[in-house]
Amino acid sequence: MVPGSRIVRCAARLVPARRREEWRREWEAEAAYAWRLRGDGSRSRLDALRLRVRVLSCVIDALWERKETMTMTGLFNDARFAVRSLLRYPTFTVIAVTTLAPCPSRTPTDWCPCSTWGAKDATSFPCRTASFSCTRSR
Amino acid sequence: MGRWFNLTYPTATVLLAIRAGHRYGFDIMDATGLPDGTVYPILRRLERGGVLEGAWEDEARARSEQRPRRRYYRLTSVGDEALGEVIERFPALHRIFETGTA
Repeated sequence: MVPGSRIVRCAARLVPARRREEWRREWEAEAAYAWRLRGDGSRSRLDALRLRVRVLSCVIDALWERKETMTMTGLFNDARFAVRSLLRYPTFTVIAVTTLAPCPSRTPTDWCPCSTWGAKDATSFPCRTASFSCTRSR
Repeated sequence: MGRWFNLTYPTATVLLAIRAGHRYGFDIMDATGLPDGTVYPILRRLERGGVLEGAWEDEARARSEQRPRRRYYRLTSVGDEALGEVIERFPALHRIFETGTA
């Protein structure tokens, strides 16, 4: 048995399933080749230890694969982008939060959606029913 | 066209090592002298970005040596373009791989 193959098999569990088989084969092949280069007669325990240490880096590779898969997931990526953007532009964050935060009105039914007509870029905004009636009467 | 990856020193080293003929993971580790845990993530990232192309070696050769097939990496046309920038930005590194001296 090639030294380090057990490490590769254990680390392979960290790799996402669709990539796992190929990933494991690649690492096992590299370890087998390196072990073969040592020559049958001249392999020592130290050689085996060295190879195991080298193969240990497959854990980092496996973790990277896992992280990358998570990063590629749309929702995770969107959330990360949103948080970064909000942190980068604090003014925008304050405006966005105050605009989009739930309305503190005790009577939410007083509010109605209003839109502009006629203009090329029609916009919609919340408006108190009373204010709307007042504006309309002008 | 803009580059999608950071052309760091380790990335440049890996690209130059592959160009110098070190095509397998462990060979690249030996040729670059980078920490073992650094090389494979760079290879993965470059492969996903289309800078490198990975392929399995010929089965007959592996069988004749009684070992599993290894995966090797080669530069794509995008990689060749990136290499031009590597040579421009890291001339000393390029000289090391070309002549063995800085």
